[in-house]
Amino acid sequence: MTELFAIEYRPWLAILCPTIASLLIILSGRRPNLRESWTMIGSVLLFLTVISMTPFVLKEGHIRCSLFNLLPGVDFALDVDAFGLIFATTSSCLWILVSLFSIGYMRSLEEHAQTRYYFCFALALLGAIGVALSANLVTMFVFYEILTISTYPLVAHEETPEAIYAGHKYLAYLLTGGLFFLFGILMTYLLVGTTDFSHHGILKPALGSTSKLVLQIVFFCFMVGFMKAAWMPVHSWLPTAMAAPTPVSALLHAVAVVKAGVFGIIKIVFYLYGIDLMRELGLGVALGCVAAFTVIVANLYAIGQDNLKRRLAYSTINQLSFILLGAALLSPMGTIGAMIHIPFHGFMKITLFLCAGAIAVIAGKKNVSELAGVGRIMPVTMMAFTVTAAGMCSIPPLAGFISKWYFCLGSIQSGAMVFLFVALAASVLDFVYFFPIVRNAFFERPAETRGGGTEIRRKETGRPIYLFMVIPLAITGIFSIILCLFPNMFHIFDLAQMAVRNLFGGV
Amino acid sequence: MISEQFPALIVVTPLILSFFIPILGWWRRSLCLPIVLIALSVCTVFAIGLLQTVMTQGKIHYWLGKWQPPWGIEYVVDHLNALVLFFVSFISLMIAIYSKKSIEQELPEHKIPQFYTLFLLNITGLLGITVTGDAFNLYVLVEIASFTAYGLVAIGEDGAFVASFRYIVMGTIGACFYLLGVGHLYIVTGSLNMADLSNILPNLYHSKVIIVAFAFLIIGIALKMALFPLHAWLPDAYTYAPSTVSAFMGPLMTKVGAYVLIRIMFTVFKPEFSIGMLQVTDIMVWLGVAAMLFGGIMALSQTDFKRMLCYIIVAEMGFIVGGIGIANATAIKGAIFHILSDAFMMACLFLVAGTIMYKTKGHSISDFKGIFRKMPFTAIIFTVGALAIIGVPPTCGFFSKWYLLLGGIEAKHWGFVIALLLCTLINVALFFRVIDKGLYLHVHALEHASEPAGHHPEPHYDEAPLSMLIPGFIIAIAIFLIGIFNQAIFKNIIEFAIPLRL
Amino acid sequence: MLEYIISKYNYWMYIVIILIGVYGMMAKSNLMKKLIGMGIFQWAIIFYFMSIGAKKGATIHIVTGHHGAYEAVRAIEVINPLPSVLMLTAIVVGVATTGISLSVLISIYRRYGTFEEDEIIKLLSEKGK
Repeated sequence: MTELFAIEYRPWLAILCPTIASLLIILSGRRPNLRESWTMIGSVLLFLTVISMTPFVLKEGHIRCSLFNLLPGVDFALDVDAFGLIFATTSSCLWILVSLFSIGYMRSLEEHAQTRYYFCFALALLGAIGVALSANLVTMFVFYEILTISTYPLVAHEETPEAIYAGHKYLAYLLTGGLFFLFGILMTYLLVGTTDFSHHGILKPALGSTSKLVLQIVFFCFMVGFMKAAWMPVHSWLPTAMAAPTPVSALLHAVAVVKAGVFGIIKIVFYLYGIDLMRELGLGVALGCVAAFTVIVANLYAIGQDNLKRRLAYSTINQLSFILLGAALLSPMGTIGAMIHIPFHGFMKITLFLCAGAIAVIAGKKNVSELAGVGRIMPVTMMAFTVTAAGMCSIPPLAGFISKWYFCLGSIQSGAMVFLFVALAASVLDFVYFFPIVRNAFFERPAETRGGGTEIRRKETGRPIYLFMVIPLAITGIFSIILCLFPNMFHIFDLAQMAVRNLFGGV
Repeated sequence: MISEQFPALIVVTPLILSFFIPILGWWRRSLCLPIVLIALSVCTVFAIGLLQTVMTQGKIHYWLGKWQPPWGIEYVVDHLNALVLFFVSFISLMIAIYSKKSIEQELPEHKIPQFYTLFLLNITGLLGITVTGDAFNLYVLVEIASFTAYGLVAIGEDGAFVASFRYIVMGTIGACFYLLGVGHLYIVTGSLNMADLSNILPNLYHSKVIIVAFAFLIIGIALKMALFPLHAWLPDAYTYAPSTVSAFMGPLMTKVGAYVLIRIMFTVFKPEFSIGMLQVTDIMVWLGVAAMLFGGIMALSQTDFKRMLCYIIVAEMGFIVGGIGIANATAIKGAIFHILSDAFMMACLFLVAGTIMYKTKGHSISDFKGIFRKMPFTAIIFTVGALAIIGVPPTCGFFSKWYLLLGGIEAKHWGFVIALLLCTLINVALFFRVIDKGLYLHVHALEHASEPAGHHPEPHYDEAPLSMLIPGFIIAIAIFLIGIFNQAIFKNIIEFAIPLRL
Repeated sequence: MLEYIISKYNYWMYIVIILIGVYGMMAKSNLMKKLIGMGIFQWAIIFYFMSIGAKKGATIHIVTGHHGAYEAVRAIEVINPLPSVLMLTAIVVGVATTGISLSVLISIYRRYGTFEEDEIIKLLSEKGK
């Protein structure tokens, strides 16, 4: 029995947790309490499994296990390394909190089709964890597609015409991307005969047999393939997908989907092409330009949005490209910044979304312009919002500060001062669109309600079920402070350092 | 040893038993289905036995009545047709189990024995086509399969008669073309045995008669397998046929046609002739591309689920023919694997169509409303089939597409690659349209968008009987297993099935 | 050229007959006429096969003689038997096809009261509405 929990089976255990949870959820659809407890048990077990692998990975480097042969030279295999573990830890930890929040959110709104919701949520987590831990491109593709398809019913959950439209757009974008991804995998397989990730990149030998142009085109295919990273101009599915319930937006933005995209691109950059090849092909600069463009333009878009969730969506697009920019610098410091920004941004953005969701449910407000005075009836929520918004603008002592600090060091290290200015300008713009929200919420009086009727003012402690929403967001808000003071929580910093040491051969 | 007789028994058993069905059925109707089940399970056992023998000992030659070829009829089982035999008998067994409820509902009671007789005869024909090593014997068996198919289509719903008549005309033309082709070959070689022909023919490859014969054969088979642009009979016939009939003809008939195409192109004629000299493969790739795009687009414009599936079959035949046309080892492996996987995928989807028909008395896409709530198990089977057609890993559809795409890129045939990817996208649109119907119940019209959702009457649970669900589940699981263990199939069977000297 | 045509005149005739059959199947909208076209088409192919086996001055392959006293069969004197045998099968197939098509046609006539394809299509589409 203990052998089952041996270290080489842990990755499979991590995959099995959400799978079994999803099956149990669908089987206990008629008993909501049981169903939700499966979600909670699954998420906690998953988190513990992932966390338990960390010491081992820090000591041994990686855990590899393969299940069966999928194609000649390609196994269905998992390979847990430092970088993958960062992503897996983030997703699994946030799943616990989002599940808690979902219970509060779905029950207070008395949403329909809750079984479907929790089922797809668990499957999406399966996809995300699988992407994080997969050992080669084909395995990653399998999980990447599971992630795409399982989130589709979530995006269209409201079943209003706009939600359905959002779902269709989401699918159309991401599955088209999936085809480009598939094409990229096929080309990689043809060029080098394997798709296993390696610290030094695997495509280097292909340069002898094919031209630079082909490799550049393949890189472009991979970029389009990871459309989930929402770089411009293929970002527009993300704001549209805001039609989904708030916990789903949190899933999309913080836990799984877009992070899987960014994670994938970083994997491609470092583990498939490798630093030397990226430099030789000039792809680092190209990726950096796309990312820098997105960072600035997304922020400009964000200023113009009135819907709170859409504003947050553009903020996500900005932050994601920020991660890509860190990777594109191809310098050790920048890479550390990119890697640790994945969990840091996850914690901050999930807080913001949970706040937006709580405001929508409790106060019934969806637009920035209506938020006047919300801070008075929902102090905890708005405090968490303020703190994490400050983190987004990278003000110390918040998590965003650390990653931006490393990013700036990285851009100096690689001598690309332009990107340093981009980063600073982005911080200023972040401030421009977050500040009015905070100011409105705390310092403005609520506008007179039209028609003279008295507005029902519900407090965040009004119903016990609301606590399910407020407590998780308070936790994540506190986390985003703690992560700055102790960035090595869950060994995230150690893992990032280790990954970079492997990639660059010593910092 | 009885196992030596398997190649003959696999055809003879269902043939003989099919004659008992009308006799016993006249006495007691409930006896028909057990006979079919016995016949088909015996066939499945034979097919598995043959597959095992072929895998361990190589090709099996069986001389009917001990008449030596080229005078007598020879049955040959090699890796390729052992595989086809297996899936034909296995899928038809599943469909037979499934047919009980569906047939009882759709056909008047006195037609049940007739139905089962034709059903078993049709499978006999398909198994015979697969196992025979004689070009003329193949014609006869094709006709057995086709005749029964005409009859089976004709017992369907309104409009089936006209569809059946069109099918008769087109099918007869196809058969006659095939016969003409065989006649030409016979004039110049004096032989009808496939192995013998392939030995004699290389010296005659420059003869015009041979080229004409080849053209007749290919056109005849293309008609039978509904290759674009000769597919016109298929959508009508399979749409109006009873759901059990389309459930086994949809996956099996066209796939067996594809098998015959491979047999003629690479066994009777050598690859040097069909690929090297005639370069017919270039045309085939483009036909495949046209079939994929045409089938996909036509499928998009359908409101009837079964008709949509029919056009998907047309597109899927494009995959197979295109893969054969790419004509390198990878693509042909992909095409052969696609024959196998497509048979299972189409069987899965047609089974769902039949189940929906059983419950809602219709098979248009709007009948799928709320199936995820109403018939959750059927919906799961449907989702598996749909994902397999789209080609989501780890279902079998992904791996055949992987090999086809890999072959296309190797041959630098970008038109094929792009068409295949496009067709995948079209499939996404097709199936998510249906899934939407099944999944979302609360779709409001625009004017009611402000109303809160969740206060509508929930559709009550109304699942199909187990005898329809179990075959569906078995096939759905098979779709996953074939995908996951695809390497075992490739290494042990398909590696040996592709023609040498490619 | 003319000599070439005349020397193989039987084959040319079959081509003409096949084309007549194809014309019947493709161009006629009456289902019965289509069926007749199909029959002509099939029979042309059967004739063609018979021609393959035929020889000038040869006879059918029935071995003459009485019990116990067979004459040796001389290949030059009998036609090639295999095409004839094959065509026996093809004739059976043809008859069966005709039978099935006729029964389908009878059902069509019972249900729609006409053989004209366009009228049937019109009836079907009206019912669909």
